[in-house]
Amino acid sequence: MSTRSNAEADSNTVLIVEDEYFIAMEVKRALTEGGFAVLGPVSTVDDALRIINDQRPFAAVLDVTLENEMVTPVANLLTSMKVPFVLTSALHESELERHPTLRDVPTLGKPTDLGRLISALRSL
Amino acid sequence: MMLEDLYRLLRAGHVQAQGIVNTMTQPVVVLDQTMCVTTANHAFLEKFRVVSDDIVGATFFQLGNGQWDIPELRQLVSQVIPRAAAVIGFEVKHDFPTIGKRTFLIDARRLAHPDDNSMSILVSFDDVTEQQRHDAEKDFIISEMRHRMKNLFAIVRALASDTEAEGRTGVQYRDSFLARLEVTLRAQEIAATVISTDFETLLRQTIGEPTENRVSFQGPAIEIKASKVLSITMIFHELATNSAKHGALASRTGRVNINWSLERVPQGRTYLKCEWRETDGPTITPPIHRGYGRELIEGMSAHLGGTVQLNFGAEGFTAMFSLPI
Repeated sequence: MSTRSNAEADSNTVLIVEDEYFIAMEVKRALTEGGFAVLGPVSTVDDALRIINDQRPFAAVLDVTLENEMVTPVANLLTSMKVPFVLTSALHESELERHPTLRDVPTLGKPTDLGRLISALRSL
Repeated sequence: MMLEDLYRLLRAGHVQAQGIVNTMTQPVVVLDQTMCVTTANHAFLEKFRVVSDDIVGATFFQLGNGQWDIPELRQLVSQVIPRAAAVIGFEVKHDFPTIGKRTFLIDARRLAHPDDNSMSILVSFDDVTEQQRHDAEKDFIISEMRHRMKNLFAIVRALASDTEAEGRTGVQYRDSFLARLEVTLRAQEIAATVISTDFETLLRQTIGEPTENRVSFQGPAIEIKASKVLSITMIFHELATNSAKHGALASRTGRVNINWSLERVPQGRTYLKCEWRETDGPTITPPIHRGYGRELIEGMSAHLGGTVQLNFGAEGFTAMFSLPI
């Protein structure tokens, strides 16, 4: 179901990391309708890292708290690869401030306004 | 009045005052103007595990390895007598040699005296360690609840937008939305209440009686982590529902065999290989549309980081899963 190829990142592949299946699918649908090609959605840090190593995405949409881990390793790798990302999280901003890689990143709350998500991705 | 009577009267008053101070559950010491301890109540001796003889006469700031010798506190207490000031709720966090890490709020006041010329200081200690731990826990639980509520609301919204509406009546839409909501919430409930669960137990719970009697379960004991319970419950609930509608469980003779095993792959991951095989049911034909059920089974398997192959063979439907656990 994921779009995979070894090609360089084209300007519209977006990785989705979200542990709640239904939310992940809603985001995927919104992105597809918004003209993006979706990588994932994946629910774990491991799977996300594997996909990124396979194919550099243009951008990523990250949930912050996954089932029993934080998304920070993924954010770190994306930052080092200069891949921009946005956060969709029900966490309070003060909570996000505590993690250096999650600071100063566009943050959309949860439930996420999908229209805002699309415009945030387009403006990256 | 005889001197003896006077002595008895004074002594009775002293004993009563001492009794009151000792009855207090809050640790209290009395200091003289040189900051030496003149009295300590039972609660103080008990709380700091010291004996009266060791501390009476000692300087307050030297007690217990000098744990109270904090410049700011020293400064405040030294002003209690000359300025008739009071120290209220001064917080001290310290790792005490005998009682471990504690947080105290300290009050120090000039001992009340009718002439208002008392030269003694009453210092009382409020152990707020537990209280602060409780508060921190409560804050954590509240923020966790808020997070879950938002998440749950997002799930409900996603389900509503995921349920097909085109070409259907409002009643049809509502019924199928509510049915999905019901299954999702039940699966959430199971996932929220267990730490991990046995795969077969989870399957039996999901498929439920009386259908369970027509399903055979074969495989080793496998622990499923709580994080995967929700998806696995929903996948197998969907398989069972479909089977009861169109597959083997729709006929009287039909059966389902579920077999599973574990497979380790080089990168260190372990996969659950599981086959759902329907037999002796009605002849089936592959569905024309990729319906909600099929999308859910394939989507959830991929979301778990695994794969699934669905086969609509004439002899019965099969699904072959490979899911990381």
